Amino acid sequence: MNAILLEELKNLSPDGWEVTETQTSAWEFYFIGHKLDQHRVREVTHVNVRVFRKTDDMLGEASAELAPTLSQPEVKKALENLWYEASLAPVPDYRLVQPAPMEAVEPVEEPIEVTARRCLEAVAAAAETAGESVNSYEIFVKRDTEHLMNSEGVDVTQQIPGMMCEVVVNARRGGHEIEIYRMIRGGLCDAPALTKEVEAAMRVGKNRLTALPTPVTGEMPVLLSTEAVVDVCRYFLNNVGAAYIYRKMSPFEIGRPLCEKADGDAVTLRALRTLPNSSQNRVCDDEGSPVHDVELIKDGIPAHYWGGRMYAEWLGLSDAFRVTNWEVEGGAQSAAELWQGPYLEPVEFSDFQVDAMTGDIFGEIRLAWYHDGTRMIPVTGGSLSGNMREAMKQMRFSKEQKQYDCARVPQVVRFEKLTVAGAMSS
Amino acid sequence: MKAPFSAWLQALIPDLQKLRAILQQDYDYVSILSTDSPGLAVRISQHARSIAHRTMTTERGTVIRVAKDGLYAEYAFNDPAGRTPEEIAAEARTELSAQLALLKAVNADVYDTPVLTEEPWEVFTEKETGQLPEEADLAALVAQFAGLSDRGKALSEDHLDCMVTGQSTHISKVFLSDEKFLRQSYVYSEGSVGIIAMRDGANKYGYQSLSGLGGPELFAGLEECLDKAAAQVQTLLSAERMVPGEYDVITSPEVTGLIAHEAFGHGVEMDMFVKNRAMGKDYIGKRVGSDLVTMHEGALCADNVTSYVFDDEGTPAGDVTEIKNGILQTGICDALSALRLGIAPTGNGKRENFEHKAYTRMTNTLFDSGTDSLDDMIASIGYGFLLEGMESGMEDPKHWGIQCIVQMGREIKDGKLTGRVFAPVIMTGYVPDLLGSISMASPHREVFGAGGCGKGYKEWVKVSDGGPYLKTKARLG
Repeated sequence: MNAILLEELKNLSPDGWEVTETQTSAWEFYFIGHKLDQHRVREVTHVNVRVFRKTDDMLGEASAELAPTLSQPEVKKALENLWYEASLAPVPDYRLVQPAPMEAVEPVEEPIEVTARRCLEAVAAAAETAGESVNSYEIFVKRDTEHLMNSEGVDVTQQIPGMMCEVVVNARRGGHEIEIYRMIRGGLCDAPALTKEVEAAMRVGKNRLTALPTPVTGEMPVLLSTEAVVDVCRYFLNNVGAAYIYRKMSPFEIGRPLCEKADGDAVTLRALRTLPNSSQNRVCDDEGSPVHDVELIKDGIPAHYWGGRMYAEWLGLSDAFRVTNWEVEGGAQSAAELWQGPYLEPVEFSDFQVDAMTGDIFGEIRLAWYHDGTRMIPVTGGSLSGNMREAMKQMRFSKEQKQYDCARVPQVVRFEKLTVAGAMSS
Repeated sequence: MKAPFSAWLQALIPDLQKLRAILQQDYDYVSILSTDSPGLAVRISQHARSIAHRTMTTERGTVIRVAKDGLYAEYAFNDPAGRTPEEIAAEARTELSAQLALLKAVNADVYDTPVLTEEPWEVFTEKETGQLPEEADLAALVAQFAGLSDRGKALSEDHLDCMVTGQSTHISKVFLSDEKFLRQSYVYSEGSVGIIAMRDGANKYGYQSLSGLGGPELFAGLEECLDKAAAQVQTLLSAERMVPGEYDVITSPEVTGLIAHEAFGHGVEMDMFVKNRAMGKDYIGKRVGSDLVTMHEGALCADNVTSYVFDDEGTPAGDVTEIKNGILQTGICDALSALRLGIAPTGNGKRENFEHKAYTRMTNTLFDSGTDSLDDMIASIGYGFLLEGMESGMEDPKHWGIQCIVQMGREIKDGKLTGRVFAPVIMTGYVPDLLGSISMASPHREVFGAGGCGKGYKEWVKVSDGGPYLKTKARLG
């Protein structure tokens, strides 16, 4: 930890403070095809400081990132400015995070070059054909060492590994070529899974080559079986967040069912302390609150709220924290059972979105499977739209789950009624 | 006043020059970009208040770019911690050599690229600004924003909250290479008013923003944003659901800007040409829009949030005519992609910050104006929609698909606005169809720069875009 900063904080003695120093060592590799475009190293330190000031029953906060190159007089001046600025931003008083016992997370022993090598070899191992190949990829591997301290005595150091791989693959037939984009994230590199993901993307590309325009169907059953499921499930996570609840932006309330007369699976949502190979396996959140397993929604009824200290205190929540890893439990039926009857299953969107505040669902369809009851036809174009507040009433989850970095969600979600704007004129 | 160039950077320059000279002994090319960009962000709502010296572009750090034997590499750092240029050079060499050893071990091929050649250029620019974020009267800003938030909340019982934000960043950058010694300083600011409302259990969000070159003095314009955001959210509360279909539409300047950005902004980023990821590569000299479509891209095209003098690779800012009367002319390009394509760079090599790689990125992307009045455009439509308010978009340069999430469509029937509003609207289609259908354009043109732009799902940079009202055909859902 920056000794000058701690000394000047001691001299200033504000009513409260919090400092997070993050040291990052990162290796990056950029490829065009399988040829190395560029390689990069990052060795950086970021120091973020929050200064709190009490006035009667109010608490003000001002914050800044202080460059590690600042001299002692510059640090002193910066803290004095924050102390003044904190007086300008008063909100109802709340307690900063207090020290608490924390369960350690398994330390990361793997050197960065080993993780990098596993990533490089995993992408190179993906089986290409004359029709499907890797267009380009970028590999990012890092180790963050985060040291968090506050005026209440919280003093935690944790090492957090991160891996990100952006892959673009092509599929071609005749003179026609299409591309598929994937962003894969994790803590360390799960090499077999990465290779499998790249190969799966190539298969999706091959299917898109033969896609017909999406028909105009109006409302129909829609299945999601890709990372879009995370966006759907995140709607529930956001709406049991203390910030949404306190600001009355959420329709959810502890003890009240998410929806009346639902004809589908009830949502069970949990915050989890760890998930295998997640990039968010931390002992505490970014304010120092210990992270643990807790049921946020149980059988369709909100049970606990999560959130940062300020909103949590205002709601009277003593043990809330910012969720790092989370899961939505699987439903009653298997994925195979949900894949029955007529449905549309978009598997590639331009940018699938579920608006947490309004519940609106959007997505331009790049590739979908249109199942008319007997045949499976690849289709492309048009869009999907709807609203979660209505759609959740007839929503089913598969028993099987799938993990995407820090989220474990049902493998398949089925909505009985979403609007499909086809690519063909009716 | 002039936005002063960072005194910290100025003092650092001798060490940077020494560092560059040391590395030059080992590499075929060495350049250094150092940045020092302080900023300010004030956010006031009915529930929370925050003052932070952190914006999307605040940073202080250095990136070294080197090339040897046709391969480029970079080393980014921000904590010299008393280290001498010799020590920093040694660490950079050690780290990059360790990466090379790994690349050799996995038999990685190199995309062989020539050494960057440069013309001698020295520049020192301090752009005009009204105020500096470092010297802003924070008490006055907080009082202004709090007053706006209170007024916005009080305007209607439907209003749950009114969030007022203002961000201002003072950019300073120095670029050093064998032939270049470049320094620039400028200030840009952006602000917004967002109103959350609820009626009958449904939430709606009205949002208006401002942006431009200049300091916190620009936030005076937030008064107007509040009035517009309030009117917008009230309209959204009574909106109906869009019936999917293909319609005649008029795009407001904000939506026009979104189309410009997603259609032929990303579509002609020429690093995508190198990777064969953009269909535009095969359409240079060919028709991609109607005669009314002329589009410009470049830091010199407008004074807004990304109107710099040189880019993050030391290339002078440009003004590129991408499309002229419907014919695709050229694209925009960073320095390394230009080398690979055998063309000149256009001043579009940008980094999220010093820690990130430079890619070809947009600056100001604008449709040219036309001569048709908005009234005439509305009068020309039998049934269609006036599209207003931009939420988000996504590019698809390989296939020329486009996705734009638009806040609302105002119904037009028999040449008149009916007062009915439909929301939200997802506009999709094939870019040449959309641009090829443009049949009218207004003389009025606006530029918007309050948002951010990613490449794929990362590498966030500031951009601005805009244009006039356009009449075209689009598929709405």
